[in-house]
Amino acid sequence: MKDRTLLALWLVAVVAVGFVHDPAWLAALLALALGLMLALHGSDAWKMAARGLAAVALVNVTVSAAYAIWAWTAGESWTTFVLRLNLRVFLLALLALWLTRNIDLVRAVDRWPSIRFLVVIVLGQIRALGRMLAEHRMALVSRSPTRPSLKVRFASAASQVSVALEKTEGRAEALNQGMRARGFFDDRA
Amino acid sequence: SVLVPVWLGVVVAAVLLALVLGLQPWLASDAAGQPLFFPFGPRVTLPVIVLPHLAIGVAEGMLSWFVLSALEARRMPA
Repeated sequence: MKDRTLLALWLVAVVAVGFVHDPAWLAALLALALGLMLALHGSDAWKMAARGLAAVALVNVTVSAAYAIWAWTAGESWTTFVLRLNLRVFLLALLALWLTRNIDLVRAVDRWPSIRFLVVIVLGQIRALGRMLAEHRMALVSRSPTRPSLKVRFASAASQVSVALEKTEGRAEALNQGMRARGFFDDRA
Repeated sequence: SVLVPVWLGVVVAAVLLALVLGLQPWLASDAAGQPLFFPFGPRVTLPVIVLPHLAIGVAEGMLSWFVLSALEARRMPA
């Protein structure tokens, strides 16, 4: 119930932020979100804010700079749009990061079996591949008395890709057989 | 047989995204003419997004071809 409520609140907040266009209001909402995150998570809130900033910085700086240069050469004002864009996108990124930290996505969608099925498959793949990459990284570090050279790191990356491909293929086949056995595919014709 | 559909998939998605972004200034601007969500029209978004994706589509097609070839070579006889 808690997770479903969080998901619903997040969806409402994202849609609502899309209707707010005044930079002053967006700044106030951003300050409110940061304040709530600080109250709930302490200094971790600043780490989340830094992650959010890093996630949106490249695209936002590119679009903002391009628009500012175009507006400046055309003799038009650019500050309102640049503020509006950056405040809104940063606020949405913060909301998304806060949600991913606090929600159990499987529980949040457990009322809708088809969506839950997809979420479980995706999360399972992410966790399995993440664990495999972590194990490879630890194996490389533990077998290297000094920092591995670029050549060694490339060879390790190539072997990780090969193992990932093999595991993904194996899991896809097992999943396919499991779904076929449970009647998901009707390919008798 | 792999390159063309993968290339088309990438390029069609890029064209659609460029059009969706490019329509934003026309769909949503304030009274002063400032865009509400995205500032550039299709004359900017189409070349900026689609042109690099013509090359990205080729790279993705080659990667897909490589992966499918590797899987085919590893396939056990039935």
